[in-house]
Amino acid sequence: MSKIVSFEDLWCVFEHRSGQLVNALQNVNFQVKSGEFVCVVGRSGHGKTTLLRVLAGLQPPTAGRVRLGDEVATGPGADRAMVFQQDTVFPWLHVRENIEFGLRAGKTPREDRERITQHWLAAVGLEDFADSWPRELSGGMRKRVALASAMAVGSDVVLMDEPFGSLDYFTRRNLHDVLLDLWRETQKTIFFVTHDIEEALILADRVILLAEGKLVDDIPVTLPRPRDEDVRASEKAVNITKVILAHLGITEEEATRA
Amino acid sequence: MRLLRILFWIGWVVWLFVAPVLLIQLSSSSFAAWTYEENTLFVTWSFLVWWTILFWAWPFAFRSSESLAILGKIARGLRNFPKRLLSSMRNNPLFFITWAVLLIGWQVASVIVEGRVERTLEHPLVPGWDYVFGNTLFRMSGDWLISQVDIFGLEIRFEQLAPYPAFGGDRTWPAVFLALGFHSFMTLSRLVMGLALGLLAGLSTGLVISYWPILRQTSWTPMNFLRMIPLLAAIPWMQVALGPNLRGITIFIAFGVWVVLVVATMNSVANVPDRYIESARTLGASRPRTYFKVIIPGAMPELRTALLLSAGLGWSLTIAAEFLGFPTGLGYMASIAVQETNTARLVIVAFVVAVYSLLTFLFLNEMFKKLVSWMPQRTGKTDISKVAGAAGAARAETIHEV
Repeated sequence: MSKIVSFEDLWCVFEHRSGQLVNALQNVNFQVKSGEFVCVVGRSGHGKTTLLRVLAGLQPPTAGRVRLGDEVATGPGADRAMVFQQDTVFPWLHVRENIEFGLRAGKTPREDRERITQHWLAAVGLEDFADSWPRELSGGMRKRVALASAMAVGSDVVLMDEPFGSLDYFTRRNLHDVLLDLWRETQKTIFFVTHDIEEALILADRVILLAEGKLVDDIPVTLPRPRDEDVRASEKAVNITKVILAHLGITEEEATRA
Repeated sequence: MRLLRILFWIGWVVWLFVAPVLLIQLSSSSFAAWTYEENTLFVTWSFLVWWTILFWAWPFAFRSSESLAILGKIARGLRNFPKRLLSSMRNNPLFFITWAVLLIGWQVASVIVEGRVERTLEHPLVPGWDYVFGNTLFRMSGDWLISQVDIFGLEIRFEQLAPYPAFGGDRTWPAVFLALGFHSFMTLSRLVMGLALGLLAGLSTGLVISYWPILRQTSWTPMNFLRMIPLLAAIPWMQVALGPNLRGITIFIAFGVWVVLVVATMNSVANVPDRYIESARTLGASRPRTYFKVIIPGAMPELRTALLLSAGLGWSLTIAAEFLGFPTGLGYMASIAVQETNTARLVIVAFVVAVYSLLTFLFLNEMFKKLVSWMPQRTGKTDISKVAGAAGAARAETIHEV
């Protein structure tokens, strides 16, 4: 059963080369229920990725802690698999071996490994490409491989750092559907970092807003699913957008002009 | 199956030495055109031919179908060679034009220089091709020096193969090729020993150092310092400290290759993008697993380049060491050319070395290709279409039609 993820008094301070201290995270406190889909939204450089990296164990916090259930999370591990913004599919492994990677690391018995890999290959629609090299796939397909690799390790919590940022609109929308299907099926807790408000509205149960490293708002998104164009044009959705824009310091007028 | 394969290869190497022993046993029969008496073998051409036949009989005896297939492939290749040469001349005329211009230009230069420069040297400064491949190549029969070798108490004498011009014998063409063959053998044996040792040691040292941050930090400066030692200047020292023998030169070449390869390996490992490492760690891979399954494969493309460059360095070191301090080998042949101010001789040695180093490069490249089979191979024309998109694809198609 999934565990509650809690961020407790989390600070992350970096020293700039000039000696100046930068507060990437300032006293961040919140809890996430298991199975929740949380989008972390903010401007670039305001601590979204740092928050995710601390949770992943790739960046030690300066103060405070992250808990998974009762345990304090240190160091990276397969209980918090991560999908990165950049292309992290290993080019020297076939698609199947990429998806197997975490399972092999976790010493999953061979039969289970093959079964699980086959399941995730099918889930992301890459059965026909199981024995292809990553270089033979499109960017969107490689993202599916990364997604399947992270899902296959069987962690309860999956972290995603603007995973679809570099993809074109249609591929991105398609992957949103894939991701939501997988989420419904597995009931995993998902942390999804994005700067795209529309993306957050499509995906999230809850939006965590970060500005200058501070948690400035925690907005439940109670829109009905699936979140098609009509839902996103509804008054409720527009209001959420306005709140987010206001927090990010952007007036609606500015947003439409941009 | 795998065991059989290994046995086959080991057997072949052993057979290389067992076959001549068998031939020696046969020497008393009327069929043998070589003599063996009192622990002394007088090698003849017939002996060498039989040895070659017996050596190549091994694969045909134990892996006949594969061997025949390879033979067929070679025969087809030879048959198609004129056709392929013509088509490559059509596709890439610039390559052939460049060579033709260089070769003809050299000949023209030889005529011009000979006409204008007063002859003070024994040999022409810019020798024409007739002088290089007629006069000078023939005179290299003088480098046929080796008269006997002792191996495990067995005395092997070569005097029946060709007379020694250096000791007053006649100059003959067989002696020319024996000289080239003998000196090539000496150089290649030194190179292979030194390179094998250097590559193995360099790669493993580099990978071990890279694994532990503390070793990485402490060895970076000393390794780079060692790398800066001018190796050519160290050759006289090598002769004194290590001795002017196979062991000495092997250690010298191995050291030169090792030092460069360690630094190159450390660099290749350091250049593996962090994102792969972080991704592996969040998928639950331990540190050793990440190192062996992610960092080393990720470093392979750069490592391959480093290995190929080290092989080139191995060649330079071998030739240089022979040039300065050995009475045998291709480097020695070059040193005679310098003593005599004999450009023609230098051209021949350079040509031989170029051919060998090209073959080394092709061999190693083929070997290392397997390590990076996942990379797009930048050979052939199909990749143009992938890289250059639609325009490239159209172009590639027209190339195929031609």
